[in-house]
Amino acid sequence: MSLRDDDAMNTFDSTPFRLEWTQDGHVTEESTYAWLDGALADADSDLVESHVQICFVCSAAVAEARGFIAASVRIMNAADLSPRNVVPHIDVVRTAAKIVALADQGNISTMRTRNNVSSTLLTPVLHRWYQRPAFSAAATLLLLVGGAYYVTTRLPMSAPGHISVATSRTPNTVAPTVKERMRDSVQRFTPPVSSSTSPLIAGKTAATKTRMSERVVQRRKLAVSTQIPSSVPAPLPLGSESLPVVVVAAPATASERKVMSSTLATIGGVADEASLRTITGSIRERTTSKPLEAVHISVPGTTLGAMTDAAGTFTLSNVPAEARSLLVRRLGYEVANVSLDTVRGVTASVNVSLTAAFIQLNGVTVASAATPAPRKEKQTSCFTVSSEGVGQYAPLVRGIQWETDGSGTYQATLQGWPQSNDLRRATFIANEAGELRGAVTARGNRLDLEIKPQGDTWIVTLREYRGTNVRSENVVFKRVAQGCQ
Amino acid sequence: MLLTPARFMQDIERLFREFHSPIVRYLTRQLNDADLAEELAQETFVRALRHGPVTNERAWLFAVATNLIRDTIRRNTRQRKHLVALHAELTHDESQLLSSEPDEVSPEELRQAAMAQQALEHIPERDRAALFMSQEGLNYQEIAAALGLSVQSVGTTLTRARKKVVQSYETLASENGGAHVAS
Repeated sequence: MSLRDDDAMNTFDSTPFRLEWTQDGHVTEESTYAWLDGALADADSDLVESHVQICFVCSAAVAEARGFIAASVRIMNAADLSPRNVVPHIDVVRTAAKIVALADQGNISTMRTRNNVSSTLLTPVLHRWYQRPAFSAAATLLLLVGGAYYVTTRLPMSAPGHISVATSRTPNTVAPTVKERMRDSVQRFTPPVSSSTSPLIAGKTAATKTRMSERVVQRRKLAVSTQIPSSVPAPLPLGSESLPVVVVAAPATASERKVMSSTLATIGGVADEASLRTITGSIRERTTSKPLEAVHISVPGTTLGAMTDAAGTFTLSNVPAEARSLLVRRLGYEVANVSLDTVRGVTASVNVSLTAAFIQLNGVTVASAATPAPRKEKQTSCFTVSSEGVGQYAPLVRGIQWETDGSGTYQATLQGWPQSNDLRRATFIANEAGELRGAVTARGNRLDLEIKPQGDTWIVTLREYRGTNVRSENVVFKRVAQGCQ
Repeated sequence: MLLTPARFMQDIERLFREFHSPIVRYLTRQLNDADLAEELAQETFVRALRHGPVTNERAWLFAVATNLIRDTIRRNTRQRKHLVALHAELTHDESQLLSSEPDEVSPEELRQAAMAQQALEHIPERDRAALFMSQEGLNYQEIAAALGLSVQSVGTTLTRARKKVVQSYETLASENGGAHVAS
């Protein structure tokens, strides 16, 4: 499609390239290239930059794009046999005068007057150029810039082993121009030459590989520890009025729980179904057996609740007989569900041990007690959550499913996103402090999430990007139960 | 770009300083003919002098240059080749002076140059034009104006062009066996 000369004046469109995201919440390929070319608006560019820092998929895509851009530049330079990008000094004034003279003459056919025009233009210039012992400042600069660029981009082909790979993107305080960014991307990714692939292409795969291996090194190797239920206590003799029932609150499978329940002794005396009863008990930490203060005990389906004191003891009054379980919670510990099925009597006592639980850098506590040995397999845990805080999206979240392979990356699937039952997945990466950063798409808008785990809650900061506007939400997700509907 | 006599010298100088080299390089890459490139560059600036002010000089100049390329290639292929040969004969000494490097092009570099040129031929004309323009520092908006595309299309075109040319080169290089290995 050819453009009439005049059209360029009328159709100049100065809108930037429109940033686009895929369904999975990644930067599209064209947008990745546009970002590298400096064609995005400033706000979008910052958006991509912060996303790439936390998204493996996109940082790999960026590395590949940089490789293609650099390789295509090298191909274009290689196609020049002679250093034509180094243009000999042109006497601007004389050439300009000639051009003006030609313009005044009117009809110019450059083909017919080729020899005349080019000879008259170039020959006097050549003599002058040839005669000068030194170049003018402009020409020198041009040669230096052109030569440096030329040399830099040709270097990988003639000097194998030259490696120059940028490992991180420095934050931009001043938005670079297109030229700067392009030059930057070419020079920063001058990759090593591999003997097995063509020199111009080695850059692409090598840059990608280098980028990925850096990522692997940066990932924390997380040991996985899974909880094993401790041995079931010996059954207690019948007839006791109040029986300390030790329930290990570690993540046990359902069948294991059943086994434990069935070996528990029943308490003499069956409570009247219509009556209320009092339940007392003590809560301890599992490994140290130290009493735990400020543990919250509640009766699901009621508003009843109690807190343990410094001695770790509590009293729940007026518990209806039909109450089946107790919910035992405390920040920093696994939520415990204590069955009341076999706890009978007007007064009953319950002892519970809680297990510390938090996402941390050195170990991952996972709900599913698959195997006792730590393994870097995919681990999944799902939590039903309630949320506190004002916001548009967060209160709708009713469950979070976490998946990790122990490498420091977490996949979170958030249940309950607006307008659909779609599960939106976000990839999170943990930093030194165990904080998670991730991103997700909702209604076509970008949401960046920061999650700070604190015991059984997650403090979530959510930023929604609509064009150039940013909206923030701060929400606390509380783990209500393990397992999701 | 229509100039009043008073500011004449300053502006043409500025135009040249800013755009002459990029235009020449762009034309040279497209035509693989340095002398023809010089000629068309001159023609481009001649037209610039005759034209009124434009929103974006760079885009306009490259649009003119691109149109000249199309016209030239269509009309005068045979004549051009003849003139190239003639010119080479006549100005042999001068062209020696022109190149800043002596003719020390290794066979390896020649082979790579040939493959690179071939790879560039494998992509469509418009993709190639966009690629060369981006090489000369034109931004997306300027390329869009020069080629009559939308800004989004420029992004798509450049992405496609870069991948295609690299893949073409890769294919060519692998077809030529291990002979292309860099020392």
